[in-house]
Amino acid sequence: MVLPHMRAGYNLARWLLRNDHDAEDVTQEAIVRAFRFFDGFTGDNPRAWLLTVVRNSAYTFLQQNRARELDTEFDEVLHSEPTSNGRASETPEVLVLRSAQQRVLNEAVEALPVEFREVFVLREMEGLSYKEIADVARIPIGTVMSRLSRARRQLRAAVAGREQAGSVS
Amino acid sequence: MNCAETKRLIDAYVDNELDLRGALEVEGHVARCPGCGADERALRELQASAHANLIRHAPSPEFEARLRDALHAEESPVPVGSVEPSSAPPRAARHRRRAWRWAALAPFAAAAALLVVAAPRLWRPTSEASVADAVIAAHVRSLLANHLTDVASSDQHTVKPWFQGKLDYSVSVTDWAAEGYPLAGGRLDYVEDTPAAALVYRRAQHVVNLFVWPSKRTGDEPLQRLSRRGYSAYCWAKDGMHYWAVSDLNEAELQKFVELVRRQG
Repeated sequence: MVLPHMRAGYNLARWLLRNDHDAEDVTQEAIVRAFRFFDGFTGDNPRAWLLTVVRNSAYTFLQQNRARELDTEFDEVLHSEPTSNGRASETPEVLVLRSAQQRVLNEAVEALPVEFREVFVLREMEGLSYKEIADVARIPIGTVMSRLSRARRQLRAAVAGREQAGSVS
Repeated sequence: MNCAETKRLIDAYVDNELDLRGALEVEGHVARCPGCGADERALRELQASAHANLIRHAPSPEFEARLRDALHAEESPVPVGSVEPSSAPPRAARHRRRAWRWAALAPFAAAAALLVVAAPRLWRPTSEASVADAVIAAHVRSLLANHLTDVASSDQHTVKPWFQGKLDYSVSVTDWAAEGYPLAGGRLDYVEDTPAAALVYRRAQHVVNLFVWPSKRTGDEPLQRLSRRGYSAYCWAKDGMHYWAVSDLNEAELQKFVELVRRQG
């Protein structure tokens, strides 16, 4: 049964949409749909399947409401700035952030373009293989590899930059 | 391998996604080249930091409750008993049929909904998944270390006795040469700390490892297929034994092999 993977689905939606409210709407829609069509599921990986359903719902939502975010020229300067619409700084989790490093990394991941953020989250938080990520995101494995590589380079630069800035101020 | 190639492959290398030759080549270069070595360390640091620091957003209890309600609504669009049969127009009749269908499913669905809210961790795909990882890792190891067989023989009457005395259970060994899957030998392997018999078959340039070990669970388990990193695996349990067939063969040929093995018992 797919339902127990709901929390992984919510986490993915939350990272793709960057706010609780939209993540809840999209997760609910996706789970209800998955529940309705579960009979049609014949694969061997219900978790990846549910993540795919959530991911597709999130992209549909972005297309309808925030198409600008899908317009992703990877702009090294723009995307290394923290997002203004990310609400990370308001969420309760942030209050318990243990360190500046944690905050910096989370903000840097939020600032990645959504296609890069998605690959990074699926890899590092869900532990999916390149093949599984390729299936969820419907991209070739080579693209998984190059996006992941670029995302990491960007994150390394962002983290290193902040640490320097922090030591100066 | 030079720096440019290493740069291209190093992410896949730290993610254990490279094939063996690629991994060995990157490993060799990284050990020699300080720049690429520093790159590797930085990547692993980032990975460790991501695992430790990324926020795992948890749904709120209110949201989980709302979701449960939404699923309940899915289960029974019309509450049973609220439909009045006497004046039912066609639409209501349809609803009633649906309600019946859902009513029949309700106990199952309610249990499922409960699982979402109460005990997502009761679902343990990980145990199956970790066996799969272990079996596929054993398959890869057997190819990597040039340690495919402990006893190299296409004669089932040589391979079967070889296992006796090394395992406390008996394994049936059949040579499928006539069907296109010649026996290459046997090997003692370990899957999750359990000694397992690995029977090695060849098909053209490909190798099939058939792992067999006693099942801790009672009862047979149906055939399952899964694939990881380009390897396909089939597993099932029968008569108290676990069977895992792993290969990079194409789906159809591996399936044919599995059918041969399953028919024999």
